[in-house]
Amino acid sequence: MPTGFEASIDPDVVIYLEDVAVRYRVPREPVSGIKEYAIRMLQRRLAYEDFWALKGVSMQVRRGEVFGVIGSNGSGKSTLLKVVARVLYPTRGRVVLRGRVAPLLELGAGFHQELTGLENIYLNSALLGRTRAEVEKLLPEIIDFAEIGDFINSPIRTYSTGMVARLGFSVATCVRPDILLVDEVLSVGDARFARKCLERMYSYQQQGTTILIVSHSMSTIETFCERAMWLQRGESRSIGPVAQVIQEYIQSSSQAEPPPARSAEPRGASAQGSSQSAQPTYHAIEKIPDLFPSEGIFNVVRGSFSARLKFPIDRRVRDCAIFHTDDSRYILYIGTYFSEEEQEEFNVLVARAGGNRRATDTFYGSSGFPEVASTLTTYSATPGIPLTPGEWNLVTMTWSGYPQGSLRLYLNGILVNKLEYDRRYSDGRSLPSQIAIGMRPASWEGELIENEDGSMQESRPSSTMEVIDSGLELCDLRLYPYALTEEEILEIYHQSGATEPAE
Amino acid sequence: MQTHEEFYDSARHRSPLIDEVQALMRYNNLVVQFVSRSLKTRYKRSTLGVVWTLLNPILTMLVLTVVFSSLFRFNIEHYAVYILSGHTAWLFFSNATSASMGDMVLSGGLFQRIYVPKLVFPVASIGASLINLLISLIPLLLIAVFTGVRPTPALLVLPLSIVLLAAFALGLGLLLTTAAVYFADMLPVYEVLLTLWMYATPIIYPIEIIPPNLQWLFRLNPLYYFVRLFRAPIYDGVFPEWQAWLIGAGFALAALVVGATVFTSHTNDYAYRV
Repeated sequence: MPTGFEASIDPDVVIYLEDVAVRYRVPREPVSGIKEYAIRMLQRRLAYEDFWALKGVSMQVRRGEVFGVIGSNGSGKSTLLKVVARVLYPTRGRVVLRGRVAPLLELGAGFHQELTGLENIYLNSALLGRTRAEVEKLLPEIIDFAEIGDFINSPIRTYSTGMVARLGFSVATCVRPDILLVDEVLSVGDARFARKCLERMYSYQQQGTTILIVSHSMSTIETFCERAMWLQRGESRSIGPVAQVIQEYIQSSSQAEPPPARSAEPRGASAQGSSQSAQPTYHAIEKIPDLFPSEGIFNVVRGSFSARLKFPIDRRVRDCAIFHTDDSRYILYIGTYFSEEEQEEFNVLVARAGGNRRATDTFYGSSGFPEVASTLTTYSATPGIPLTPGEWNLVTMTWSGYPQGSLRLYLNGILVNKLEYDRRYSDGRSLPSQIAIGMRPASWEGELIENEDGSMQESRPSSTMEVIDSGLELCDLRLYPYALTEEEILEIYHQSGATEPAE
Repeated sequence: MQTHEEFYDSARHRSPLIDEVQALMRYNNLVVQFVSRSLKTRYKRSTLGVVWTLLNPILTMLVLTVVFSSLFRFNIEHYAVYILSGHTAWLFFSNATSASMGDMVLSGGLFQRIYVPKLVFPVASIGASLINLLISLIPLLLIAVFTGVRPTPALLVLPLSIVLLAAFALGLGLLLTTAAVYFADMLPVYEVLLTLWMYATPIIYPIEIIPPNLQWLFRLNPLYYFVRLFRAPIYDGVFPEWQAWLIGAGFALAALVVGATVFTSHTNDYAYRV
């Protein structure tokens, strides 16, 4: 073998896979006995079923890059991760890794239930190849980061799952690795701790750590990765900038649905021109029993959401989320507040869209978030818009040209409230303009809030904010990949405003 | 901590044996951790704790002595020490080899999630058994003194006997562990064989009771020599004869070389199998 291998690969490429194939041999009939095996050997009947989990995958990930691997179950994502983690040796092909690899696969897998937290720190660190001296030096930091306090001297079997995950994360990441492998572990403990983990990961990335994330959640991949690969049945279908890969993935997986064609074209003027108003392209969100689930390309820069709502007669609407992206940056919800002046409770209709923060800290204090609202009484909305209970109303939110555009909320084609974006809503991170979402207009289970002073708190609505519990009725949910103009909104309002939409 | 950067290339193949041994040395801390885990978890929940390791040989001795001295009436002086010296060596050997197989199979969940040099598992299993052997030597030597066996300078060679036996156990353990990864019923089969093997080894009886024309057969058994290397210094109070040393060392070396070669040549496959 030539010795120039090390030199032959760009020194900036940290993970290098060349035509990597992995074959599992599954015996056609289970052969576990020696006798059976010997008989089969003699009869030359040792039949195996070959299963290729990876079929010639090539990829290169550079230093400091966050690279995502996406694909459905059984596509070979986990196998790929195991190959990079050196758990599986490739049946064919070549794997080159530069530097220390820290796997965040199933945190706490190496923990022993009977041993104390402290003993497990030593054991797990040794599993990661650290020497005893290294561990002793890192010990205070590991314990401190994991926040398990006096439990450190109790057996792991007395720990909660969250504590185990925290300790596992702390041990695995107390030294900055060169390569960090992440397998759906972004839900470490509570939301606050999850954020702490993410911060550590980002700070490592700034210092040059390469992060490989495997996930079936498109929003995870979209939020964190710069480049991605889409795996399908062990083959690499697409590799490149994350937005492009996710788009290809979605287009192939939802052929039946109307493709959000506009978002694929250069966005902007062409989509916004009034000439387009004749045939607006949108993504209809169909109701499935009690939910309005949707997967589609969601345009972060400019877009619109519209729906028809029917308020219940003679009672206020209970809090509910009408529309909600997975990352909580785009929400339309109805909340309740108590007015000191009127000594009465009111409903508020709130639209939130835009902002440039990562998924975990979207809601950074009420004043800092791009949100507009309208107060609802039983018969009207704030700037004097009459509402008739028991009849359908059109609610529309649009967002355009972030960070230079505005967020607008319309009721029955009338502008209720608007907000011009400004620098407050950006923390300077560049996020992809396309976001893959699973919209959840049915439930909203809470999120992380960053207060003005930087402290964090987890906010959970009193209920899951499900539409079905709220008394509100919904139909005709549409997602547009561009900001609708007022004329277009009015047109939609009049289209079927006269007749009650059929469900 | 800016040391030289680690570099891994799946296409760069030196000898798997050298690669694995080097990886084992880098992970020496893990071997220590595994050994201490196995000792700690063994004693953690039992109230008598480490006392059991001390008590076990004494109880074994009592049972064996009572059963065999009344049953067979071998005319052996200090029969308890005779049995115990051989039995301690045997117990280490059988525990070490079966633990090596069992631990590897049980650790499947671990090395399917995280990279660990595979040699760590059998080496740690032997290591843990070795510690237990050292602990059980204490009651053995006490019993020897108590029953009137006089300690002699020959005892000083005992560490060398232990090293040779451990090397043999490791070598054979590696071979058996490789087999255990591929065949699920290897362990129970081996445990049956162990029982047979024990009675084929002069542990509770002297080799002299075997008909002279059959004794050669019993001398093919490697354990015969290892038991001798234990029994000579402890029971007989003499240095083992050079033939025993030579043959014992030969078996140990051969087992180690063959075992390590076979085991390491399959390391890339284990995560697929277990």
